[in-house]
Formats: sequence, structure tokens, C-alpha cells
Amino acid sequence: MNSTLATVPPPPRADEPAAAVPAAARRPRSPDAFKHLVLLLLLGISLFPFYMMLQISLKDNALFFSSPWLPGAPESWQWQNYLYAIGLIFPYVANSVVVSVTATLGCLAVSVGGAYFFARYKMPMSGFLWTAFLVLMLMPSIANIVPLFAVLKGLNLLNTLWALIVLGIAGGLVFSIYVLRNFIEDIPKDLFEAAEIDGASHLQQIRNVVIPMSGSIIGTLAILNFLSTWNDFLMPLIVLRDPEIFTIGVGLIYLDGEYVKQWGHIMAAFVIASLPLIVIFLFTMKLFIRGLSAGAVKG
Amino acid sequence: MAAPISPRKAWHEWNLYLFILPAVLLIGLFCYFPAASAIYHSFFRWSGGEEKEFIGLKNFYDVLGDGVFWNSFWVIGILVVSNLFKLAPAILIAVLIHRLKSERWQYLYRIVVVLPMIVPGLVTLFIWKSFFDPTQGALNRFLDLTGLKTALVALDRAVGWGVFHEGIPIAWLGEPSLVIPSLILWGFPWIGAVGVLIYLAGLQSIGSEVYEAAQLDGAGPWQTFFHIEFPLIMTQVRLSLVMLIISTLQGFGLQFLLLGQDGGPGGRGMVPGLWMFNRAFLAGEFGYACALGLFLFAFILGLTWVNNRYVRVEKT
Amino acid sequence: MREKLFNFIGLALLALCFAASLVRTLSRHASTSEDGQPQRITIRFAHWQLEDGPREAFARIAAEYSRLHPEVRIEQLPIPERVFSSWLVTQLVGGTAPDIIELGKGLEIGQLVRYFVPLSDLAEAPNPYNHGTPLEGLPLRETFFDGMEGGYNPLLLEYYGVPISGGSIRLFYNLELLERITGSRRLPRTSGELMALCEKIARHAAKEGVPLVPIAGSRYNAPFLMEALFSSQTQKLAETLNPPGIIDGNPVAQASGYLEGRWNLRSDAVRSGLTLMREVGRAMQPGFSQIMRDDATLLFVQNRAVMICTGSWDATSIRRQITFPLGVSPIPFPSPNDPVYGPHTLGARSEAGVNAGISFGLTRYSSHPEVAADFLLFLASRQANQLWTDVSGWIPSILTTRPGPEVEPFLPVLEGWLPGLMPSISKGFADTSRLFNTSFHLLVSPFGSVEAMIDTLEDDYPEAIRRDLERERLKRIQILQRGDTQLAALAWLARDPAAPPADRARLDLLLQADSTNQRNFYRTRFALEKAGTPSP
Repeated sequence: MNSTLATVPPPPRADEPAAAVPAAARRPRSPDAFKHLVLLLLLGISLFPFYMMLQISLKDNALFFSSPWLPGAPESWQWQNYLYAIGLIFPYVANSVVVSVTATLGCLAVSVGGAYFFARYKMPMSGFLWTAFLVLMLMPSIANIVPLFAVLKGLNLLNTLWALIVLGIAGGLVFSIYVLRNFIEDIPKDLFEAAEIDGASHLQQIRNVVIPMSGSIIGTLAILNFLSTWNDFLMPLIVLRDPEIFTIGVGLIYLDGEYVKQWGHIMAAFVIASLPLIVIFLFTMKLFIRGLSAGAVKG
Repeated sequence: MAAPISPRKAWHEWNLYLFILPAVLLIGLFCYFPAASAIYHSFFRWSGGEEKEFIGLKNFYDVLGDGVFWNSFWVIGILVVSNLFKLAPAILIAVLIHRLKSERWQYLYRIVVVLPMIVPGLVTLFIWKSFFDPTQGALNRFLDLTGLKTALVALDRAVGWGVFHEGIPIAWLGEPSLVIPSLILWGFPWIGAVGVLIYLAGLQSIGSEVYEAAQLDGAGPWQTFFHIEFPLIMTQVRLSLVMLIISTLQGFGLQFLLLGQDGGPGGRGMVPGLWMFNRAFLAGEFGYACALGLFLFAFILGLTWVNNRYVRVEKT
Repeated sequence: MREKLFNFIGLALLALCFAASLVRTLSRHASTSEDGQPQRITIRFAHWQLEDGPREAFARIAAEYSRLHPEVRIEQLPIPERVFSSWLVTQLVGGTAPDIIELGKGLEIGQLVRYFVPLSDLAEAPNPYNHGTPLEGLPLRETFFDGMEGGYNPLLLEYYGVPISGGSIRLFYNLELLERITGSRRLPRTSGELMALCEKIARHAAKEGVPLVPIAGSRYNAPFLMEALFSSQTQKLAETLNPPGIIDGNPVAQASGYLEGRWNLRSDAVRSGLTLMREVGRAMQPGFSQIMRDDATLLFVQNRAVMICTGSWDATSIRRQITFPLGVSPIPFPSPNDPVYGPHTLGARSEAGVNAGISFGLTRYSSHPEVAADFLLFLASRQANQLWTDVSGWIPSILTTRPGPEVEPFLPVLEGWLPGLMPSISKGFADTSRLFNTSFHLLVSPFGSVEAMIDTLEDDYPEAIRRDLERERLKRIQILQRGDTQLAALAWLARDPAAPPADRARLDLLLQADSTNQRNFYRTRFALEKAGTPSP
């Protein structure tokens, strides 16, 4: 029985997410080593697919068949797989970036405005509208695919990227407005009133009060929206016809449909398809984690 | 809560409505209108073009007699239950990280947990699909390497599944009885980064006094978990649960990508959503697909109502 | 501070990425937009032939056409087979379909009629692109080796497609391995020799301890071999079943024969056929029925199987991957002298009745129908077809083209006998096929047997056949109903003695078609009634 009451808790680091209490004071019995073991094991397994993706991407088929688990020697790394994959998949990545970024920006813009509407005052009809929104959250969108296709056709948006952008915006709206509304409601009212007294219009209030205060949650929502449009393949599959405007989802499906699979090329394509996200995550990691934690406590 | 407003002031603040206008337009056009259109068209024999033929309730009668559709609910039921169990690893990881002594390690692990999210879900799915490949896939190779394959064959012979045979590569996505296990197995070890982070955040709010009290009472690690940590993250768990169930119920992207549009061999992987897609975009029976969608919608709505009514967790 | 910098870099990178992608998207949009450049017409055609060969051939043909017509740009849309049907439906329904689409997958009769243009007028006229060749002046359909049957829809009695390639099933051999095991490169000529060869290979593999299978099988190509052998055993049976005057394997006749009791699963011929199927299945690698097409090819290409049975359309792909010399032979049939399998068979099957494939149809929504039709004519011309076979290595469909030496072994063998029956009657018979497929594993698994499969199938077969026949009947009466309106209208128009003769000719053609359809319909209904199914 190991009493850790005697150990001095390490001073909290300045840039750590605020912990309720220094870690050492929270005390379960089992030794840390065991936890590390379990954690490393589980997390290791969950990272395994990506390890495989990386190491296969540098092999050719022959090497892959003979030695599937371990990466080959550095001399044998087939960098040309990446060249080939770039040619294959770069257009799709570009299209996906355009669609996802535009959709995310659009969704955020519209949902900040919408959440502001709900959170600021209880305007007449806002109750009705809010319930309408909530119902949508519970409603499975499954039944919508077919008529959605007809709507897009009527608007002449089929086979365009605009269709995906618009759908991306509309799809993320309800959840974003829901989360944002809760956030904005928690902003102290006097901030708003002060701005109003200073003669700020609603737009300016949003710009000066809402956005700075909800920065982290907006960041998180942005990332979640981006991810969801990035990963979507169903609507692009049925909406897009020309290979030039395919997004990643459809591109990967088509890649998977080839008869003779060059695994090296395919894995290299996967890596490239993940690159934009890696960039985003590496640099906005903290933002994301903090935003999620903050949002979660609210939920 | 939003501040109450007098009608007079509301008039004055009319331009607030402009803020909600784009959202209303977009949602109205792309969410509500299709829903209404789905209801409307489910009374027609419609193949997606301009011509449609009113057939009243025939589509609904057909749905009632549609064996494939009702069968798919079995599949989805199994998947939902298994998804419930799949929540556990995320909770476990969150608790373990939370209980670590060192802050630095905690932070590190948090990053490691988020790492898998970097790779888009689609790519992960395709990588797993390659794992399931009978001859080249990592899964079969792993089973052969570790001798688990022989164990499975022996088990099979004892229990009598008729699925695992000596020398025959296991066709995870090709053998009808293995389709559902493959759908469940996918994504091992089922750690969702978002989930872990949310649970962690919830755990952070547990004060140290609670822990000290538990220790004084002589509680071991498991008891601490069950009596302290788990109840306090219940809200987050419940939220995850609800989202998970709804998305599993209507989801079919996973099945489509892994098994194809017919739900795989023997149609074993056919889920309601996929059947709807199949009827619409393969058989060209859009009206029927709308009717199917309505049934699914009613089902999910019913479940949600049950959930809200009877499964309440007090918010402390 | 560092964190802010990091965030900034990340967002800047993303912005850069976005800007680059935007520029690219917009510029692409400008370059392919047809509004500002009326002289550049784009014709798109879609197909699912992702094997090695076709895409390059199409690209060459397209380039050649653009050379002749600089104002036209031809764009090829290769779509993976797996998503082709759903892609097709969404494109047709959404009105964004390409001008030309490969027919044969995922198209119901109704969709064919609604979305595609009948090509009969095109078929009767000479092909201007055949000017200067021996085919000049011949109606288009007579320039094909099958008379353009491959593009003809017998239910609609119209030409809807232009078939540009032939296909045949062959056995491919790894000559290197063959020589090593048997000492010679001689290919088996009867099924008896084939089975002996398989046994030899199996023994060799066991002795040397190498993972080698005689035949690489898969869910895709095992049926080729098995159906051929099954049909060899049922040739004589087929003769007795077919109605007099019809020499084609007729699913309706086969089905009604079953329901009348003229044959069943326990007939000698059928049992013998199933046994042969089982034998050859045992020569394939274990678990072959779960394996996909490319996995089997991989097996063959990597020297782990000595033979593979697949179509001429895989030849180019296989050739590009192998490092050993390739042998090709038609599927060996049992010799009539074979003690076990000889009595039921007549002899090797003739491939004369096989139609051309890879058939392209013209959609109604094309914005440039004349140009698209012109491209179709070019596709069907002798020079384009010569390009086709030269570049893709596939069998040509236009007469007087000269296939290269690599294509020679795949050319259809015309001498031979009529085909026998298919074990599941017809691929179009959904219930019967499904039933057969789900019991298939009983036939080929080491723990199963022919008897086991027959036992399982017997009970449900009659019902399945009945349902399929009923569905066939429904389909045929729908064809009739659909034609009625047009017939009535034309008949009305043709009453006028001043009506143009073309109308009268068309009416005659349609009346002829209608009576054929009626005959087909009544035959199906009769078959059902004889079998005891009352028709509404």
C-alpha cells in the first residue's frame, strides 16, 4: 500500500489546461506503471492502421507481399509511389479543400448569426423556430437523400461543387447553432448592454463580444464541420459526375474499385489524402482540445 | 437563458431576424423541404424524374411485407448493441489517463489519443478494408502468425460454425456469417478521440475531496470507478449514447463501403439505410425508398421519445 | 506566444492550400466551360472497363477523332464496376448523364427505353467512316461479326448499342510451371487430360511442399469453367428440351421443362454435370468462392497457380503482370470417348453464337446528339476498331480487322456443338440463381457433396423457377403493353393513303415485332399454365 500523501505535488505548468486539483492529490491505488502499460497497448493498437499505411506506402507490391509488417530498408523506399499518388489524388484533395473550407466558413458565419438571434433576446417566434431546429436534430436525415437529389436537380446544382458546399453548410447548421446558442447565452449580459450603449449594431456586437468570447468553441465547431465534409462521400458520389470535381471520398472509392491494386500507390494516396488534416491538427491541437473540454463540461 | 424582451422593443430590434434568415432558408430548403417532399412522394411510384404515378398507400403495404427491410433491423439492432459495448474502451482510457499522477503524461496521452483523428475516417475505413482482405490483409496474416488461426479452427470444429477451416483464408467480408462480426470488429480498439476528450473533461470536474473521502473509506480502484467516476460522467456518456444510437440506426456508409450496395454476401450486412439507398439508386424506385425512409424515421423518433421519457438521468 | 504562432502558421498553411485549390478549381471551370467557346464541343462517354487496355485504346480513338474534328473534345469517364449501377441511375435521373454510356449493367428495360435513343436508323445506313475500306456501302450492322446482335435488344426489338469488342473464355497457363511439372508445354485437350494434369500438379505441390494450386479460382471466374463443363454434360438434354426450330438455349423452355418434369436435379445428365463441377472445384484453391476476381489473378500472376480460367478481357492485364510465358487454350471438353463423362456429351462447344460486347448507347439527354452519334459511328468504324484491338489487345468486333498475334488465341472457335444447359437456368432468373448460389458451397467444399447440394436444392427449386417464370411473364406483357400505344398511333397514321411509306414500313416492322413478343409472352404463359400456375 503505497501512500503518496508524502510526495509533494509538482507545480502546475503555466500553459496546462486548468486542472481542478493537482494530479498527485487525486489518488487511486494501482501504480502508474500498470496504467501506462494498458494505455500504451491500447493506444498503440489504435495507431496501428496508420503505421501500416505509412510503411506500405513506401513499398512496391513485391516487397509488400514478402514482408508485410516491417518497413523496408530506407534504400528500398519507393518515393515514386508518392509521385504517382499525387498525380492520382491531388485534384481530389484540392476539390475537397475548397468544398470543406468554404462550407465550414459558411456554416460558421450563418450559425453565429443564428445562435446570436436565439441567445440575445427571446424574440417572438424564436420559441417556435427553436423547436423546429431541435426536431431536426432528432430527425434522421436518411429519408432526405432521395428528395434532396431532386431538389439539387431542380436548382441545377447537380454535378457541381456548389451543391456539396451548400449541403455542407446546411448539414452542420443545426448542431452548430445548438452549441453556439448555449455558449452565447452564458456570456454576461452586461457586456452586450455596454456595447449597445456605445451604439454598436448587432453585427458589431457579434464581432466585438461574441466572437472573442467563444473563440475556442468556434474553433472546435470549425474543425468538426471540416471533418464531416471532408469525410463525406455519399452525397458526392451521387451528385458528382465529372472526375475533375471529385472530392476525396469519391476519389478513394474509385481507387478502391481498380482491378489490379498497387498497394503502395494506394497507401501513398491515403497519406496524401490525410495531409491537409494533419496540417490543421498539428497547429490547432490545443485549441481543439480546449474547446472540446469546455464544450463538454457545458453539455 | 435568452433575455426576455417586450414586444415593443422586439419591433425595434427587427433586424435581428435577418440573422436567422440565412439559416432558416438553408435549413428550410435542404432539410425541411426534402423531408416534406419525401412524405409527399412516398405515395407515388416515382423513379426520380418528372413522371410519377399516384398509388396511395401501396408503397406502405409493400414496406410492411418487405422481408429484407425488417430483417435489416435485426442487423442494425446487433450493431447498436455492439456499439454500446464499444463505448467502454473510450471510458476506460479516459479514466486511466485521468488517474495518472503526472500532468505531463496526461497531456501527452491526450495528444496521442487525438492523433488517430488526424487521419480522416474515410481513410481509416479503407485501411481496415484492406486489413479484411483474405489473402493480403493484415488481419489474416496476424491470425496466422500468432497461431490464433489454428485456435479458431479448433474452436470452430468444436462448436460447429463451419466458418473457419484449416488452410482456407478467412474471407471476412465474403463469408455470410462473418459479415456482421466484421462490422463489429472494425475499428478495434474502438477508441474515439472525441469521446475520450469529453469524458476526460467531465472527470476533471471531480474534486479531490471526493477522492480523499473514498480513500478514507477504503475504496479500491474499481469501486472508485463505479461509485464516483462513472456516475459523474453519466451525462456525457448518455449524450454519447444517444448520438451513437441515432447515427448507427440511420448510418449505412460503413456498410456501403465495406460490403457494397447489396449488403455483402447473402445480404447479411444490409441495414435499413442501405436498403433505402439500394431501392432508390439501384432499382430506381424512389417513391418506395421514400416510404422506407418514413418508416425508419418513425422508428428512430419512437426510440428517441422512449429515451427521453424513461431514461432520465438527473443533472446534478 | 509560441502557441499563437503555431496556430497562425497552421491557419496560414490552410489558407494557402485553399487559395491554391480555389485557383485550380476556377481555372478548370473556365477552361471546360462551353459557354464562351462555342467551337469546342465536349462529348463524354462512360464505361466500366477498368482492366488494362481499354482506357488507353479509348484515349487513342478519342485523340484520333479529335484530330479529324478539331472542334470536338472527347472525354472518357471510367467508372468502377462496383459503383457503376448506382452511378448510372443517379446520372440518368439527375439529367447529368454523359452522351454515350456503355450498356449492359444496371439498366432495366424501362430505363433503356426512357433514356436511350434507338439506333436502328443508324444501323441500317452505311457507316461514312468506312469509306475507302472493303466495308464501304454496307449497312452498319452488317459490318459486325455478329450482325450487331450484341447491340440488339430482343425484348424491344431495336438496336440500342454499338458493340465494339468480342470476348471469349479461355484457360490461361503458366508455361514455365507446366514444363517444370510435366516436362512439356503441351496443353490438355480434353477434360480428362485437364483433371489428370490437376492431379499431377497437386501431387507435385504436396511432394515439394510448395503452396501451388492447379487452378486459381474466384467467385468471378470459377463459374466460367464450371458452367462450361456443366453444359457439356447437358448438351443432349438441351436438345430434347428446346422447342422445334429454336436452337438457342432457351431459359423459358428449360424452366418449363423442369416444371413439367422432363428433367430435374436428379437426372443423370444433371448429376454428371454437377459431379464434373465438383471435381474441377476441388482443383481450385480452398475457399475460392469467397475470393474476388483480382485475388485469383494475383495467385496466377505470382506463380502460385498453374492455370486460371478467365476471359479474353483479362489477357492484357495478365500479360502486363507476368514474368513467365503464357499459354492459352479453350476450355477442354470431355471427349465422347470418356467413360464417365463421354455418354452425355456431344463435343466441344462452338463459340459462333457469342455476340459482341462492350456496347455503347446514346442517351437522349445529350446536348449534341448529332456529334455523339457521329462519334459512335467512328467508334464502329474499321479504323477505330483496328486501333481498339491493337492498343487494348482485346478482340475486335468489326469484320476485316486484323487482330494481332496476341489476340489470335482468343478469337472465337466456330466449329463445335450447341451449348447445353446452365445449372441455374439463367442469370436473369433471380430466385433460381440466388438459390443455386447459396447452396454452391455444398457442392465444392471438401465436406460437401453433389448429393448434399441436390438434396438442398430440390425442395425449393420448383418454387423458385415458378417465381422467375412468372416474373418473366410479367416482363413480357409489360413490353407488349408498352408497344400497344405506339402501334395504335402508327396504325391510325398509316390509314391515310397519303401517308409517307416510311410510316407504313415502320408499322410493318412494329407489327412483326409485336407478334414475336406476343408469341414469347404466350409461350411463357403456357409454360406456367402447364406447370399448374394459374395466371390472372
